[in-house]
Amino acid sequence: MSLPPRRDDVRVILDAISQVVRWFGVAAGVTVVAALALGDPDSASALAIAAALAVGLGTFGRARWRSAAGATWGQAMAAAAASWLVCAVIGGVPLLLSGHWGGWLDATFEAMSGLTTTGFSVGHDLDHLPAAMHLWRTVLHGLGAFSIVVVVLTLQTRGDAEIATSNVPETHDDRTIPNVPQTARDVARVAGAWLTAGAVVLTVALVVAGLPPARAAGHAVLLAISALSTGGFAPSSQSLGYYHAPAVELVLVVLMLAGALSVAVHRALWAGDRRELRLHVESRTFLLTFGSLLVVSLAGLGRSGAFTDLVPMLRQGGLTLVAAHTTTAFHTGASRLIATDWGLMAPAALVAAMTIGGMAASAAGGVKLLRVGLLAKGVQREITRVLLPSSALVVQTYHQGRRHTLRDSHVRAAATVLLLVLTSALAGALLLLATSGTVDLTEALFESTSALTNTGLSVGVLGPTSTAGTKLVLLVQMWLGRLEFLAVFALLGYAVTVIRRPIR
Amino acid sequence: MSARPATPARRVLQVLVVASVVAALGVGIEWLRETTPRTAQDLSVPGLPVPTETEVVTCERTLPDRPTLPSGQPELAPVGRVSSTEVIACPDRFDGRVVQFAGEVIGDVLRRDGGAWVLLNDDAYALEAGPLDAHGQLLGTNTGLSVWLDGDLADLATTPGNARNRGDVLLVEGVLRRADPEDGGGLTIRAVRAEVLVPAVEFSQPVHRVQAIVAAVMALLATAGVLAERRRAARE
Repeated sequence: MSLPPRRDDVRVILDAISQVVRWFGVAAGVTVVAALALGDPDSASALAIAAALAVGLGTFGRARWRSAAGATWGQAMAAAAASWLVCAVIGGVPLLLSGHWGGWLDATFEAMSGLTTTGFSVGHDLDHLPAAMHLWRTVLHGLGAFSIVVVVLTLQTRGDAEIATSNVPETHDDRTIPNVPQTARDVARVAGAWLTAGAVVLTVALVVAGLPPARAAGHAVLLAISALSTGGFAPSSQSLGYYHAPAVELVLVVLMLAGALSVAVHRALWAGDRRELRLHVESRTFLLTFGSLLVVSLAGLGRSGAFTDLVPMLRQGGLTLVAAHTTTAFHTGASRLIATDWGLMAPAALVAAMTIGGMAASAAGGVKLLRVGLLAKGVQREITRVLLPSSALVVQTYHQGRRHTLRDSHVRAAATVLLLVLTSALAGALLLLATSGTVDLTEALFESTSALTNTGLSVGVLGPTSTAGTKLVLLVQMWLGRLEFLAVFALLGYAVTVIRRPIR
Repeated sequence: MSARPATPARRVLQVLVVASVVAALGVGIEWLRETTPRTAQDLSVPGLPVPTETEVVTCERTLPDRPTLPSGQPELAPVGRVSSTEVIACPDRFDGRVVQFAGEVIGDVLRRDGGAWVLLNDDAYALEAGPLDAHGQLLGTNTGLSVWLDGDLADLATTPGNARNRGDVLLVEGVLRRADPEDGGGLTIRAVRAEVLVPAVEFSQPVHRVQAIVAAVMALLATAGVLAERRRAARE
């Protein structure tokens, strides 16, 4: 039985949402300047309306609900879930005003896809979309990725839910949030270095591929942000297939992998500690899962006759698998070909890769390598326990920054999230069957998993002309997946409690 | 939040005020969208060859018998004009065949190795109504195929389509490769002939003045709000 929330509890949540919304408005304001520099006054005014709306609402909220009290973990999670929703609605305003999205639902869907770093799109005629709107979609990716990493790093150590993303499970105070500005600065420093290096190298690769230097620089910035945030929005409807350039694909593979690395591993690499990358439970799990899924994928592509030579297999199948595993929506041409031309094994490997996803405390979605690694360790421990005499004490350890002992609570928490993801993917697929009518179960499962794991690869179930029901199902899945269920549950918990009982 | 206890009537009033503001914002933004100025311009493409087939056949590689073109002719038998939708729905049917394909050059002309890669879109925005910003009609997503224009053929693509242009519309004839080994397995057409059906058209879209005014007023109000809130916070 839950206690009714106190007035101050709600106030803290509303104050936190107001702050986030105001910062979101500032980001939109910066994009206004970029739109003006690009000579696009209509996009600039559309973005300015969103910026003014966000800053205005945020300021009103701060004035009305300013709170000196620190947020508890539950309040912070509820605020995070609500902020994603409010920012998606406001972030959709410029898209709606551009005329390329069919209505509020479509524009909100696209903004949610950006903020959750999914990469699904329901826009019309994106190949003629103004550059400023491409930039705004990419900015949404960047904001979403940056925010989720900061949120996860600050919320990662809450009781039994810690294993969701924990790096240092035992050391945090239960009531207070760690230093958010300091965390944000750390993340920004790492991301800034990768983005700068990535954009420079990409610009060169794109010029070599045939783009004029100015266009190459513009595409490089958009692609670098999109890859590092494991999003997937691209300036062309053909995604990476537009460039016909292996060097561009290679750079983006590196950036996607960087986006799927945890901040802790980035810090270790920054400090020159390669040992951490070698020993880390998540990097080991990635090598194992990616290696085995690559074999399955290539075998599937070869068996089905989709590709007969190794180089095309690796460029098409391998790159798409990296994209799926890092939960990025990049693909090498019309993604519908995955359904019509790749057989069953390769798409199945993609679904498995999307489900596993990237590292905890990274921009990537999915169940997360940490949980998969710990579950595998748990299974290994149980097998060892069965094989040894009953009096034997079996201790399983894993490396994450330092050596940890695997506890039952870790395995239980990881299994809970895996179960939630699998059941939600299945439920989403069934709802897609009900709402779209023209897809089969395998396509619905692919799309549902893609949304829930914030991957964004599509086999054609979703498009601008999809039904409102289909868009709504996938929108909720993106939101749930990005916030790993718990934050949304916390928000719903507060909402239900407020509705059922008056605020104290 | 005020220290006064919220009476039911006050709570209802608060909800009504919030709902009214949200509804007004929603309606206002929809109105701005509807009033976007457009220049009426005919951007249809005349002289397109009639497509070979009108029905799109979808195949899956898992089916025991993948559909093939009815001709049964040896490789490279010409099949007439195809659409990207039907090719993507079942690439095997067209693999290695000589096809005709018409589409708008989009984005960039990627010149290299004595030729150029172009993306030719053959969706409604390319061949029927023109880019969305020219007319405002929502006609679905973009579809197209990658085409390699060898040697002098690359010179035919001069102006690609973007937010301000409907690019050159080309009619190409060439061999369709389902998994082109020279493009790392991409789905391509290697053009052997090409012609410009319609040259690029620049369309001018008037600035949405009402939207600009609304944005300026809202920005002023938001700035005033921030200043007032800062002053209040400083006083407290």
